[in-house]
Amino acid sequence: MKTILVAVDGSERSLQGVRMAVDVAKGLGARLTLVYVLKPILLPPTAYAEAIQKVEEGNRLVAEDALNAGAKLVKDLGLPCETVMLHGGPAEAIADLAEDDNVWGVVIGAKGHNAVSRVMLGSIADRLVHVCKKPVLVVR
Amino acid sequence: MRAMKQVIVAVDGSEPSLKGARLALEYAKPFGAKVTLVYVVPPVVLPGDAPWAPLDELHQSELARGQKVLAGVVEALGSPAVSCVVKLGPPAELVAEQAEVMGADLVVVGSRGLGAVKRLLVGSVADRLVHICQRPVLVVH
Repeated sequence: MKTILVAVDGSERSLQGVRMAVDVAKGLGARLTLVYVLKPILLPPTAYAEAIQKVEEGNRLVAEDALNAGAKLVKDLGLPCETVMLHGGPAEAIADLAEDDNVWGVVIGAKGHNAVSRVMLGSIADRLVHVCKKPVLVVR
Repeated sequence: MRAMKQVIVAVDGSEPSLKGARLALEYAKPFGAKVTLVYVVPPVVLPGDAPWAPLDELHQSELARGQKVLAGVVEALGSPAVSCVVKLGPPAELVAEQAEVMGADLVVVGSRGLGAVKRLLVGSVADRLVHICQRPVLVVH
């Protein structure tokens, strides 16, 4: 059974991507894996180790919330789903995971949390389309 | 499940675009969605000092060539029941426009077509399409 990866960041738009991914998975008879990528923290090296730990902990909680919200939506729509938390550059981390033979492709919202309203395509979706070797579905 | 009724595939006869078309057919099948192949003939570029050119004739012959390309694609796909559209003009813009007009639920495009520079991972048409298209776009590599 093939797996479809779905990039989530907790934004309403990424949940729209989850909805479309559920439709696609039902059509193709695939399963879903929700992916959240934790970006490296940019703090000055002089920051207290404790502060860095706190930020990391906070980011992890946000990631868990985003994954849980997505997983709940998938289950409500009647499919089982797995969740994965990755570290690194978002597009690259997702593209690496997508290289697995079992992966059919990736679904991603056209814009996530950080998108400026006048850009039509978010930087992560744009980069993913360029670096990913599997099919990428950009959802609007 | 939401109704998936219309899938559009941008083709140009190249191998990646055929791969995209095959994926679109596979994808459309369980939904019973209609598949439309769209081939956009790039505009004819003539040297600026051409004193006179039979533009209408050129366009007609280019559109006829487009029909042939599409017929070839349909044959390569094993002649499934698909409809075909040929347009002449800027490719990404016209595919996006066609997607709006037909109310496409999905637009499929190969990541590289005929015009791609080898080192580019994503062709200019696919890249532009994911930027301007208001409908979901599936980029096939």
